[in-house]
Amino acid sequence: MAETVHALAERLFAGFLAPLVVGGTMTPGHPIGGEAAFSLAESDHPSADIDLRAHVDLARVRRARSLVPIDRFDGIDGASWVLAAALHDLVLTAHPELAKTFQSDNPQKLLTIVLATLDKIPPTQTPGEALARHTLFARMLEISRTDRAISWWTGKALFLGEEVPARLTAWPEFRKVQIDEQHHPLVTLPAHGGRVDPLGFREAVGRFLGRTPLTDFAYLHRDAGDDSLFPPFSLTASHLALLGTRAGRTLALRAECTGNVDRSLGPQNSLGTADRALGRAVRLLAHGGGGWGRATAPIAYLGERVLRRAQQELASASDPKPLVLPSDPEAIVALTWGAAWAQLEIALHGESFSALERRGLLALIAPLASHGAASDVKARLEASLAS
Amino acid sequence: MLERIALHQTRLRTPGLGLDAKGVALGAKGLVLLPSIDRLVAFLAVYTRERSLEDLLQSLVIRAVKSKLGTRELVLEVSAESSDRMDRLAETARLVGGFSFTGTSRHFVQYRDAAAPFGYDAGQLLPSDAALVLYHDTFTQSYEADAPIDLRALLLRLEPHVDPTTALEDGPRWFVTEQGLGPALIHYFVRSRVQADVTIAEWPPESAFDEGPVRRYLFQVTDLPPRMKRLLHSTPGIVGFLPTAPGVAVEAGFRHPVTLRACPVFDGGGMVFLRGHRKEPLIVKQLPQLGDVRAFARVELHGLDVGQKPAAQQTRAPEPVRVPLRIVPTTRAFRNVTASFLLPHEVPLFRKLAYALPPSTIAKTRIAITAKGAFLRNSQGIEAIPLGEFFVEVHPQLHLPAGFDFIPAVAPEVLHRALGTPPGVAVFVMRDGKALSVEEHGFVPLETLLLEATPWEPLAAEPIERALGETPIELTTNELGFFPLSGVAPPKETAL
Repeated sequence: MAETVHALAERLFAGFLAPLVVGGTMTPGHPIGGEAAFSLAESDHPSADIDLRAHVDLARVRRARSLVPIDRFDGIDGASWVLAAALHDLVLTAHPELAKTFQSDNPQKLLTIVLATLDKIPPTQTPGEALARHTLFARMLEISRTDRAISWWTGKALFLGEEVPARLTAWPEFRKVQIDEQHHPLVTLPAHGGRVDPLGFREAVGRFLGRTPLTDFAYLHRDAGDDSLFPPFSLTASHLALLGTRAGRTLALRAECTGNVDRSLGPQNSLGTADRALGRAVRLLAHGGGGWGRATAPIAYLGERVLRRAQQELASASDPKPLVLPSDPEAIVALTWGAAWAQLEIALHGESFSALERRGLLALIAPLASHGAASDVKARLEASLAS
Repeated sequence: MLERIALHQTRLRTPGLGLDAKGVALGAKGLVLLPSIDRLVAFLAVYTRERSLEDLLQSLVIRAVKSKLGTRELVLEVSAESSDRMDRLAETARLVGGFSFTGTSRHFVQYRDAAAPFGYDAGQLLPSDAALVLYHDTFTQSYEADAPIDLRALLLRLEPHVDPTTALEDGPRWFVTEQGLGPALIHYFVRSRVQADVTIAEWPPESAFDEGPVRRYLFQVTDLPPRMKRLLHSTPGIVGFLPTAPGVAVEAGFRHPVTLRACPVFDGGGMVFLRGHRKEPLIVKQLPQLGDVRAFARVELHGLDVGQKPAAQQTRAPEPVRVPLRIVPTTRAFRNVTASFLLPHEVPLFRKLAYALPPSTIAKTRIAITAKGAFLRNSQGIEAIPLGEFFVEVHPQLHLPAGFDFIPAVAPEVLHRALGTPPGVAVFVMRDGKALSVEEHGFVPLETLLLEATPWEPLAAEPIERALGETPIELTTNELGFFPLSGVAPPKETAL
């Protein structure tokens, strides 16, 4: 008997989406698929569990208020339902039991469906949409599975995301029971029991982040090298729509600053990682198919990051020092292009700063703006403004 | 016959006559010769007006004497202890037409006067066997002693003088009533709540025709109300007496010629009632046992047993004195304005005014909201809130409109009592005379009632750590079945 749309929505909300927002035990069920996912978008599905819905709403508001003073959200829109279903299936692709006998390609099939589903989800058009999706999926990379390896005097067993049966933990001293628990984040699940292609899985995660740009900016500090499990940062239509507005850039900057910074890397290294990711993405956009015209908004975002960093230096230090040019070429792109935009912004719209501040800011960003990489960008920006 | 005694004269011829320390000739006795009984009464009346006879009483002897010519005169003989006593006796005797003498046994010489400051001495004693020989500068006379006169008997025989003013004098009184009037007078005193004691005295039959002793009721009244004096003194059969000395009383409306208080000759245990209208005094030798008139009040027994009588279910309070109160304007400057009254249509204006009130006024003002309007009270003065009608506090529980007064102009306490205001209630008398009362606990601080209740939404407060902390997302794996991808289809071409 086919599951009704409402029952599917209730299962998705209670077992997956709500724990994703407020935390707790996430229990994904049967894969949903793209067709059923889009059927969820056709109508609203208020949950029967009023308390759980209220908790989700409060958690979303709390998440949003870390970026912007907003008081409520009007439910979950259709695209978000589809995104939630896609993420549900994406998580299931790493399910250890998805690949059955004679069905070993199940993970790959499901991953293909997920990618196709994500491709059909329209990008966000306004900062409000991006914020609404961010409040739902801001913690997507926090999903983790606890694997328990239990051994006793006559054997051992591995339980992936399952509770160890009580019969195996009985008489722990007599049977010399030992339980080894390991927490595996979402991006590591293909390597721990999953049968899905890790690269495909990473690609799907990256494509999912492309549908919720503020979440992507919040995880901008992730280490996304070529051999990393994290997907690299890339500028999609959603990102460009977000950065195309002044408010969107502000939200993105706040999400980046308040996002999930890897504490182990330290502030400077974390900042350097973000600079690399942004520089690479903007460079690929400018030199790739996007062209300089589409790269204007991301460059403006880079310029605001440089201005913010210069203002912090000017305000905090009694003897402010000019911003240091990094050694990484991608980070150089991010800072020099941003400095070029900042210099131009101060020249054109610097009335918001006092004369003393203008002189100080220009002095601080002068080493970056005078770099060779910035000259070309400056000329292109001036030509773009003139046109 | 008499010779003036000279200064420093030491030798005297009269037997028993000597000189005291002042050089005044003085015998052992003093003697006053009075020509008649009325002079004796006059002598006693004058002497007792300012002095008491108590000192003289032990040696006082009054006797009638008869001269050789047969004339009868009266002699009052006392012990001449000092020239001071004799001087007082001589002055009184001179006033009433008597003569004063001094001596020891039979020969008495004239006591000193202005002509002989040291007295007189008899130049030649009269040879006589008479009991009494008196030597005066105008005569020398011997007398024979006659029967003595008892002072108490004399006083009892004296007829009191009419004096209507004594009937209305204040103070204790005695009433002697005939036997038939006694019970009625007892109940009259009981009903009138007059403090009085009563007893019954008996006198022997006045004649052989009387069947038994004469019984009369004696009432001793401590303080008779003035409204009853005329009634009791004009009622036949009831005779009022004013006690003038212990053991003696004179009928009201009469006055005894001698000040009886200065004559301690009556027994305190008995009672002598001196009556006017030439009636014999009533003498009670031993006063009978007196009893409170309330003990003689009429006693009536009801038919019901006390235990069976139903207890009173409710009592009726006495009717308060209802004073038709009127409120009238007055030009007198008002003060102590501590309350005001706002009509219902003035309350919205007061709400607007509340924004401009100083904090001290808001803190000290108390307000009571009633169906008639709002009452404001401030012990420091309500003028800071220029709204409504001001009220003056004339009593801690009574307020009148400012600029008005009430008539009749009784004291505020009287008006408060007349209104019968119970404690804990503040009364406001309006201009039309109607009084509105507000219970004290109905007044609440203005600051607690000033702000409107703001709609509020209950929020469940969570601990800060729990609110800021985020529960980890724990992924679990469930059984997917044998065909996990059954029913899972890719999206359609036109999805969104």
